Amino acid sequence: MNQWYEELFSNFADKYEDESFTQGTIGEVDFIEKEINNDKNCKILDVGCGTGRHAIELTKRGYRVTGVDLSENMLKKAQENASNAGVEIDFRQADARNLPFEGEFDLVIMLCEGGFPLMETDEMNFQILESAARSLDKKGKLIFTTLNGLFPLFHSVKDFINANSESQKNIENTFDLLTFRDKYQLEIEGDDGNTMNLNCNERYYVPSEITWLLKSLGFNQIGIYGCEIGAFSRDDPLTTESYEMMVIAEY
Amino acid sequence: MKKWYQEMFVNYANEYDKEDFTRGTEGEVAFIEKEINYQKDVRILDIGCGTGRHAIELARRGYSVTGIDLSESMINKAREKAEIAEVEVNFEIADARNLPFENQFDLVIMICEGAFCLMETDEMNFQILESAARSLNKKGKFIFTALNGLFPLYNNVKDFINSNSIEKVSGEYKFDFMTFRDRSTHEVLDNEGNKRVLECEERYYVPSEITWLLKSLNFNKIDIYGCKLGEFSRDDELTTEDYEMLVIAEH
Repeated sequence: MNQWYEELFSNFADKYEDESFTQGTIGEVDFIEKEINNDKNCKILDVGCGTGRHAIELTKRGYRVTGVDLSENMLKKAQENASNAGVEIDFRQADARNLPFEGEFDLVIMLCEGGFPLMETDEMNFQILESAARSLDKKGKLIFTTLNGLFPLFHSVKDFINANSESQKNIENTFDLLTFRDKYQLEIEGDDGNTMNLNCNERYYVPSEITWLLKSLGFNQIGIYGCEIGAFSRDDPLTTESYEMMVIAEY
Repeated sequence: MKKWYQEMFVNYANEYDKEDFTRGTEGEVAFIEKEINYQKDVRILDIGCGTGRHAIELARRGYSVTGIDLSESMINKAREKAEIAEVEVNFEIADARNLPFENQFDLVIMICEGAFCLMETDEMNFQILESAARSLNKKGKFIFTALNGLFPLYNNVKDFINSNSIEKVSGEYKFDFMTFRDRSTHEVLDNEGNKRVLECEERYYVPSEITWLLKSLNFNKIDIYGCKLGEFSRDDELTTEDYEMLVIAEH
């Protein structure tokens, strides 16, 4: 049986790009460039690249990027977007839990929940971090965003999603305090015009958990910040108001 | 330099036994007995046994118990109390991060923050869990309590401690969202009635963290509950109002 994230993205490439949370690409890439000191030699891996918005923008600016995603459908759209933009990118279908790379990237990015907190078990989510860490050169940097476990303790995720997305309807939302998993039904119109009804399950992590997981993968320098769409910044402290957090890790 | 948890227990054994939070011993032991099906041949290790209140009560009920604590003063008091109670308990001074036991206990208990949560790094706290796991035989059970990370997000720990304890939290109380560590200044009365001021730091864990840490030590069955002093119960669901959580783990 397909997981909800497989089903969703098999039919949600065009509409994905209309979502408000996918409009921050330029600002996010500005931040990423600064983090790698605008060094054009930097080899970049984008895990869960989706329709390739960050990968394409980075390539436009002169970086070599490899983009991987589980969804053939999203990658097809990414290829299309790349050829429209007149850039060439190595897009590959791959499972983020088991990537075929070893120490070959200077920067690994994983933005907008393209893989990490979507898995059905915590072990699988950890495999994604392991995979990302393994792909990275020992002097490299890992930058990713993920769902902030502090947010659902003080806010209704359902209200937040429903207020911020026109296409999604989030219903029957329950946040479990023991597992920090948010389960909900998602009603969403697919690219084919039909409404999909999906049973979703996402894991929210508190900062101390992320720190622990990254330390156990050998990362020593771990910075966790707030995460404003389109305006990533190291000056943005994480609070209970941040829906996502931005994590920057180095060995 | 001595850590606060070493300083505190040097001269706090008599006062400790007067604290409200140490009054639940009988009810807690009743729960523990039920968890081991009243099997009198169960060998029990009590980590961070303090003045031996659980160890002595268990010995009184016919179990063979080893109690370890980092504090010589607490162990001395425990030995005194065991003698008065006319029971035999094997009390030893030992560091919970590095216990000299291997597979030799059927039950390991660690109650009332005797060690875990008090360490200055998360790695040291994990070493305590590792040590406990190593001491336990593969069919054994691990029962412990820990500070509930959900509590300080909704409650003022300072007010809570001050209304429930002889020890007083003075000065600014600070809970850090990034580390889930709580720093506070405690005023305690020592055995001579002198007021002593200690800078303390304690780690609160959310349930999902505890589950992850225990799974990585190969525990498969992990149950987490609320924790009412003196009335531990599997029917007590963990909420944001529980200052502590009760954890029961099996391989």
